Amino acid sequence: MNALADDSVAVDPTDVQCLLEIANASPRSPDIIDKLLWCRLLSMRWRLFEALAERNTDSALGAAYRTYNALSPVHQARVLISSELCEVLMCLSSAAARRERAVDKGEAENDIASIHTRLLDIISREQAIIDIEAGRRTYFLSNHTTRVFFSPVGDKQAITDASGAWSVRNVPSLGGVICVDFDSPVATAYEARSGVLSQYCLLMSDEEKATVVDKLDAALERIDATVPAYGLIIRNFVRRIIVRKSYDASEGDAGAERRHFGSEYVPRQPGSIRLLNTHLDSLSVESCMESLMHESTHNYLAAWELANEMFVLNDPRNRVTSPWSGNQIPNSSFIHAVFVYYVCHRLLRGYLESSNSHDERVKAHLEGRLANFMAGFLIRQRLPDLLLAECAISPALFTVLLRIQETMKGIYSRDAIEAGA
Amino acid sequence: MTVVLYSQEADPLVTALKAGEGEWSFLHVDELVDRLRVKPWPTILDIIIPGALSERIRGMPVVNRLFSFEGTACLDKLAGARVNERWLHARLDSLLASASALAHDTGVRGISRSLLPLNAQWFCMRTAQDAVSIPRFSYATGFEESNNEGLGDPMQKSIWSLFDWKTERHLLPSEARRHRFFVDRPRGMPLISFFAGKQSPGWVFPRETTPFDHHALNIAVQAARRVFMSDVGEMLFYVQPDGSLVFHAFSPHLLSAAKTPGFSAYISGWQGPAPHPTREPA
Repeated sequence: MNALADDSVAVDPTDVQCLLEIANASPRSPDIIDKLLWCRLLSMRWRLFEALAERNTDSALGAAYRTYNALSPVHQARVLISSELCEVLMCLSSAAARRERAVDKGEAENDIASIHTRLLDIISREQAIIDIEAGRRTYFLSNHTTRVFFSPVGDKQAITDASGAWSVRNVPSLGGVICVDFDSPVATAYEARSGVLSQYCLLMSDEEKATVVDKLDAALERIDATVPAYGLIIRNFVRRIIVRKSYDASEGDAGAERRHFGSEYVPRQPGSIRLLNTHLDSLSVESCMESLMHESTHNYLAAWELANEMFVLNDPRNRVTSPWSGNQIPNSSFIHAVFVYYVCHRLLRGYLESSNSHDERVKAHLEGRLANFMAGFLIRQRLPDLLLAECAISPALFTVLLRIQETMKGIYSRDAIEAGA
Repeated sequence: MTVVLYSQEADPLVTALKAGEGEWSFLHVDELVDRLRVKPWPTILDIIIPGALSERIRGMPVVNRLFSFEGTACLDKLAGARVNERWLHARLDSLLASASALAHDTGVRGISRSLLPLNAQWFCMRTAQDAVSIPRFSYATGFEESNNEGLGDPMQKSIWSLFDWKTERHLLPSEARRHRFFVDRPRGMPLISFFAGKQSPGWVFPRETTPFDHHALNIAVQAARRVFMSDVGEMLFYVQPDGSLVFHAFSPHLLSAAKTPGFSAYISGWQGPAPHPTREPA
């Protein structure tokens, strides 16, 4: 089925075709994932040092530079793979571009100074966690104004008791490597543009948190059993799962308009995904499987974009109508969606066919989702032709998108189904 | 003979063609309802096309007026089986692929090139033809405030509402709050133009008549035929005081044009779709 899975050809992580290999779970995908992660790490280090190059004129940057260099390689890597660092560097790059174009130059300068402080804060938090674990008290801790903070990657929480003594505890995790974040400032923030973080933020009980972790663990376990290479994608490209509760079951119909589920990924926070109301019993493990896979696929694509180049430049006013959801989505999201629905289809079909003893309700759910994935591919139009982009995407990416659509049409066109029957 | 595949009895083009003297072969989608088979996954939906019908379409030009299945027995059947209407389009595509030429693209709104929302229409027209002017607009993401700087008189609209420019009557509550879309309220005189085949475009002023740039109209119409894959359709412009045109919307429905007294006569001059330059041969 996969002509690209040729072990004799060296893996080239800059080639967009490697994304199709990962989607097809080819035998080479562990090797590709490994190389891609290294490229992403190096790219983030290069971006960080590009930002730190201005340290002679900025005291916060000077401190950030010294603190970063004092970290061991493992802790440097933890900073580099954090979504927080990537977000800050993207903001910096955008503010620097505004300063360059002399658009709101004064405001851009202020933004840059504030971003430098955030950069120092991120690196200092990693150092402070090390210090607390080693029993040292440092300048950062003495001057930290809150009584709690998190490691940049989100897996450790530092808290101080009434006596002022600091301690570190591990945040709940999934598969032992992905933190499930209910409480950090990133998880509790309000974002107007976000489908998840624009919703009410209700406190979750310990019991509800445990339910969420158990459910996600079960989902990951089933993904591992169905397509092991997909479990590898999730474990390697997702570091943080933010979970928001916007509806409490005790509210009944009073909060019915908030009783909905959702998941999302945002490009400026690669490595993080967001889930909404996962604590509710009505959200099945099968739905969690899909959400995890959907958002993790975004993350492996984002890692490739960070390591190489963006698939397409977005003008937020030009959005494509998704053939799957009918929603208006940015061009980059549309390109991601082609991979996302292909991968989710492959996972859920594999899961459906893995057993003859699925519950009827589960079977109906899976078939309904598969039908939705398929319908988006079975349109007459070529998927990459739907893009509304000022600049054409690369011919290699165009070809990959077409191949994905052709593969799906090859499986599900009426003639193909009849031939199969 | 050109086949007209349609779904709405009140479709203005179908009405005009039936009243005319041209030779057209009409096929309502509900004639296929007994041929639809809802099946378990993975087939979902099948259509058993009789040989005679396949022959009626194969190698013939087809006018595809399946813009909506609202009110059809086909939609009732699909809804009863909880099958999305996209499947009907998908299964009809193989039939339409055998046509020699197609007027209008296939698929649901937003996917069919003939049924694009306003922002996409403007993008496509500008990309196809630099000379076409479009309105200024803003489009926010999620619940964020829209940035209406540069809009003299912002007017909130639905991206799907093509011809409501005095007062927006089709703004859904969800659109009013999320992904807010604002357009500079049009200035100038509205001008409706309609076209069918290679005839010169017709036009009408719904309010007051004013001089306008006819050459610019022809250029915009030619671009629209290509961009929206429609050999027939209507367009809304606003004529500026200097006679220049600002393109506001395209629609294949022809609801506004049909109110023009000369519409039926104009349509009778249409021969049906010729092979489209951007469409691959069947």
